[in-house]
Amino acid sequence: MLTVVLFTAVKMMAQDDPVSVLNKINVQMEAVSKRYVVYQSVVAHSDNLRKAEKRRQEMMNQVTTARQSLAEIPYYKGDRMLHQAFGEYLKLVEYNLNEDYAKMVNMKEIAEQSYDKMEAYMLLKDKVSEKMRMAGEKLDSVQRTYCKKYDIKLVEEQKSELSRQLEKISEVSKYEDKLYLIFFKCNVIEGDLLESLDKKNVNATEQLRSSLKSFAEEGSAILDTLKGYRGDNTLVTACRRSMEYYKKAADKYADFTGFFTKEANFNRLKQQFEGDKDMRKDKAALDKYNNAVKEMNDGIGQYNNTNDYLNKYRSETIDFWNNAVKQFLDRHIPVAD
Amino acid sequence: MRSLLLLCCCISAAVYGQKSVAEKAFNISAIAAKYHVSPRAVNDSFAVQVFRSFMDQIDPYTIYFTQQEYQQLQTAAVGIDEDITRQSTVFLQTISKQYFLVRKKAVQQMQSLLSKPFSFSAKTYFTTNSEADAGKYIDEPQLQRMKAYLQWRVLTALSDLLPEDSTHLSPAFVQQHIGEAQRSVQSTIEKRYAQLAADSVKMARWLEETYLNAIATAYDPHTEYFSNEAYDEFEAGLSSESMAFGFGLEPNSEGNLLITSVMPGSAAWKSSNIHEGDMIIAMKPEGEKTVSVANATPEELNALFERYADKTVEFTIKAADGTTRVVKLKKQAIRNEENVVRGWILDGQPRLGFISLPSFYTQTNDGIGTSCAEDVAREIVKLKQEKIDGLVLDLRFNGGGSIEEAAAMLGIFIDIGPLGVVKVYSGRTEPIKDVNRGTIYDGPLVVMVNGASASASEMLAATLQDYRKAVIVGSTTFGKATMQVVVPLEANFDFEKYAPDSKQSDATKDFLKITMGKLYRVNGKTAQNTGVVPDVYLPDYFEAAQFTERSYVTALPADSISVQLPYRALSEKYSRHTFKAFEQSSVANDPEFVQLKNTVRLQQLTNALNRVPLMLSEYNLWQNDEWGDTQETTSAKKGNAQSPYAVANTRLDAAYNAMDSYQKENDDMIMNELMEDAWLRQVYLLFKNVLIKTNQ
Repeated sequence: MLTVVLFTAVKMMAQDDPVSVLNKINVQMEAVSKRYVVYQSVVAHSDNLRKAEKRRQEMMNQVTTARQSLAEIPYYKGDRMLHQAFGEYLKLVEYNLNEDYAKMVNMKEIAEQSYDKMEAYMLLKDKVSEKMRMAGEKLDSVQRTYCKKYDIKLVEEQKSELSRQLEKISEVSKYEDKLYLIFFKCNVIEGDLLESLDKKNVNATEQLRSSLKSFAEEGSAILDTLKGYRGDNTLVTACRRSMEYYKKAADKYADFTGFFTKEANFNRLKQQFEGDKDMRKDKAALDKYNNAVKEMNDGIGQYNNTNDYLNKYRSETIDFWNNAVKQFLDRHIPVAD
Repeated sequence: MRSLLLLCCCISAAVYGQKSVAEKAFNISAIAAKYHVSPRAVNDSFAVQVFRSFMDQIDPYTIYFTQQEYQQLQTAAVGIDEDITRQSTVFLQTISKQYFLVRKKAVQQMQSLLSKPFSFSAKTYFTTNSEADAGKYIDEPQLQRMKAYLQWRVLTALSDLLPEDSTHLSPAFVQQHIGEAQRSVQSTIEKRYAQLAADSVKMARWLEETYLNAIATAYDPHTEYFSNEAYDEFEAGLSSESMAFGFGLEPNSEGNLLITSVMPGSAAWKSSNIHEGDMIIAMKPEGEKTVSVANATPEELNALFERYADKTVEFTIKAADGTTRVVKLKKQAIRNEENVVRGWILDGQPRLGFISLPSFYTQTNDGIGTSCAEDVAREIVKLKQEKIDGLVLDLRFNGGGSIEEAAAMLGIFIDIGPLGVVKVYSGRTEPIKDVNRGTIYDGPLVVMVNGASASASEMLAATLQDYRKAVIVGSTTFGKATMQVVVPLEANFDFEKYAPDSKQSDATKDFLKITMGKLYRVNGKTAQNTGVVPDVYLPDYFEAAQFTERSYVTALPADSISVQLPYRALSEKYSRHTFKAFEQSSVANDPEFVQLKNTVRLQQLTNALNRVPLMLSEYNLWQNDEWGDTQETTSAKKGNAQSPYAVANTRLDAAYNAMDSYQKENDDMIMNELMEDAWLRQVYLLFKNVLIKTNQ
C-alpha cells in the first residue's frame, strides 16, 4: 500500500533563500524515497525476512531524521507552507509503514460503510491508497504554489533514476494488487468456510460454498479480460489456476455437508438402537444397523480422502500463487541497495 | 396473551411485603423510563390503564365486585400513579383487603345459585368485555351477572358431556345431565376457592404480582413482570410430567390450561399438531375412557400424565382459532437430537420440499438444544439432494423466538445484505445483517403464514417479501414487531453494564421482560400492528378471533423510520394481478374455503357481540356458528380430500424410519395430515399453476 512521491525536480534559477529552503526539504524527501526503493527491492528480491524488516526500520529511521531535519530548516519569511505539507506527508508515511491505519483514515466510517471484514479490508486498502495519493498531490501542488509565490521557475527535467524507480514500483504494485484482489476474495471466503466446517455448521458452510463458487467464477471471467504485465503472464496464470482450485473445492465441500446430514441421521439411529433392547435382539434390525455402521465408516473414509485431497490441492495452489507473486516481483521491481 | 402466572392464590386480609412491592413498582417505572423503546408518562391515564388491567385479571367477568364497590375502587385507583412515584401502596392495600371478602361472599352466592336446577328457556345472554374494554365494569346487577356466568359454565360442562360426534344439546339431554353438570361446575369453583383460601401468603403475593404485572403491561402488552418463581417457570416452561409429552402449560384467567410452549424434538413437536395457545380439553389414554380435563388444575393434570406413563394418549385440543382436533402422543424422553426439524417431499408434478417450523428455537447459553436455522439448512441440503422444484416453509402458528435465528435463516435465501432494522431505547438504529455471504436455496419459495405467525416469523416473511425472494401465502400475520430483553428488576439498573448471565446466579431477584427495541423492515416500514400482508391470501379461522397485536389496548402504534439500506430486491417476477387471478380462480372455488369463509363471517358476527346466548335453542345455533361448521369442515376435509400430491419422506428419513416404528407411525400420521391440509393444497396449486410455470 505504500507509495512515495518525489518532488518535481527543480532547476535552481535564483540563488536566494526560498530556493535554498526548497532544496533542503527536497534533500530530505529524496533520502526517504531512496530508503523506500531499497526496502521494496529487498522485499521483492530476497527471501530474508529479517533483512526486509531491517530495511523497513531503516526507512522508519530516515523518516524520523527527515522530520527532525525539517524542524531545523528555517522558514522563508515566516512562510510555513512547505514545512507543513512535508511534515504532514512524512507523518502519513510513518503511519503507513507501521500499519497504523486508524491514524490515517476513519476506521469507524469504514466499518459502517463496509458489509463484512472482506469489504472492510478492501475499503481500507482503497482509502489508504487514496490518502497517500492525495497527500502526494497536495505536496506537489504546495510546492508549485510556493514557487509561484516566490517567483521560482520550475523546469521539468528528465526523470531522475529515483523517479523512474518509484514509478515502476507503483505500476507493478498496482498490477499485482488487481490480481491479488481476485485471489484474496476467494481466499477469505474459503478461510471462513473452513472455520464453519470445523464447527460442523452446515448453514454457514453451504452459504459460503455458494459464495466461493460465484467469486471463483467471477474471478475467472475477469482474468479472461486481463493481459499479462508487459507480456509477463505469470500472475494471470497463477490466479487462473487458483480459481480452478476454488471452483473445484466449492463443489467438493458439498461432500462434507452431505456427510454431516448423514452423520446426524446415523447418530439418531444409533441412539434409537442402543436404547432399545428388543431391537438389539432382532436379527433383521441388527443387520440393518450393522449395515448403517458400515455405510457410516465408508462415509468417514471418503470424508478423510476428500479432506486430504483438498488440503494437498489447496496448499499446492497457495504455494503456486505465492511463488508466482515472488517471481513476478523479482522480475519487475527495480533492484536497489 | 394475557396470562395469570400463578394459579394457587390464597386470601388474607394481611398484606405481605408491601414495602418491597412499592419499591418494585417504582423500579419498573424507572427501568421503563430509561430503557423502554417508547416509554409513557406515569400519570392519571397510566393509572387508569393499570387499574383496568388489574381488574381484568382479578375479576375478568366482573362478577365478584358490585358496581358500587367497583366505582369506589376506581376512585381510589386515580392515586396509582402517585403510589408508584412515591413508593407507596395505598391502592393495593385497599383492594387486597376487599378482595378476600368479595371472593368469600361470591363462593357462597354461587353455591346458593347452583343449588337449584337452571333452566335455559329465557332469552338471556352472558355478556363479556371486548379486549378493548377489558377491566371495565359491565353495567348489570352483580347477582344477575353471576347467575348468567354460571349458566354459561353449566352449558359448557353439558357440551363437554356430549358424545364425541354430537354438538347439539337437546332438552332431553339437558334434563338428564343438568344435575351432573351443575355439580361439576360447583366442585370446580369450590376447589379453586379452597386453593385460594388455604395460603394467605401466596394469595397476597399473587395480588402483588398481578398488580406489578398490570404496571408492566401498561407500557405495552409484551413488557411483563416476573417474580423469581414465575421467572423459573418462564425459563423452564414445562412441568416435569407434561415435559414428557413435550408441552408446557399455564392457566389463563379462566383457569383453563393453555399450552405455552412446545419443546423442540418432543413428541408434541414431532406430531406437528400442537401449537402454543392450544387448550387441552380431554385426554384418552390407550384402552381407557376419555377424561375431560377442561377444568383440571395443573396438579390434577400432572397426576393424570403420571398415571398414564408409557401409554399412547389421544389429546383433544381446542385451538386458539376455535377448531378442535385429536392428537395422538406417546410419552417419551426428549432426546438431545441433532436435528428436530423435518423436511418432507410433496411428490407430483412439480416435486416440492416442505418444512414446517413451529418456533425459532435457539441453543441456550448452556449449549443445550440446537439452532433452528442450522436444522432448517440441513433439511434444505437433504431436500436439494431430492431434486425439488420448489420449497415451502411453513410458519403458521410460529409465535417467534430468537431474532438471531431468524436472521441466520434468512441467510439461507439471501446472498448478502441488510435483513431489517432495530431501533432501540436510545433512539439508535442498527441494521440486522446477514452474517454469511452466499445462499443455499435460490429456487421458487413460498412462506406460509397465518394470524398466529408472530415476531421473528413476521420478520422472516417481511424480509423475504421485500427482497421478493419468496411469495408469502396465507392470512395477515399477528403484528408484533418489537423485541424484548429480560433484565433484573433492581434499583439503578444499568443495561450498558449488564451481563445477562448474572440473572441465573441471583436467586432472590425479580425480573422485568421489557420491550427495548422495535423492528423495522428493510424499507423502513413496520409489521407492528399491521402484520405482514400476504401476497396470496387464504382465509383462516384466526380472522374471527380477537387475536392480533392491535387487539391489545396498550399495543405500540405502527410507525416508520427513514432508512436507506443497500438491499437489492429481485425484479417483480409475478404480478399482483397473477396472484389475484389465482385467488379468484383456485381459492374462491375451493369448497373448503367457501365454507370456511362462511364460518369466519358468522364467528365474526357473534364475536363482535361479545355475548353468549343462554337460551338453549339460541345457544345451540351459536355453538354451531362458533364451532359446528369448523367441525363439519374438518370431517369433510378428511373424507373428500383429493390431494394433488403424495407426501414422502426424504431418503435419509425413510432409512431411519425403517428402524424406528414409533417414528414411522408418527410420520404416517403427519403425512396424512399434510395430504389433507387445505392451505397446503392451495400452495401446491400455486406452484403448479403459477410459480413453476412462470419460472419455466
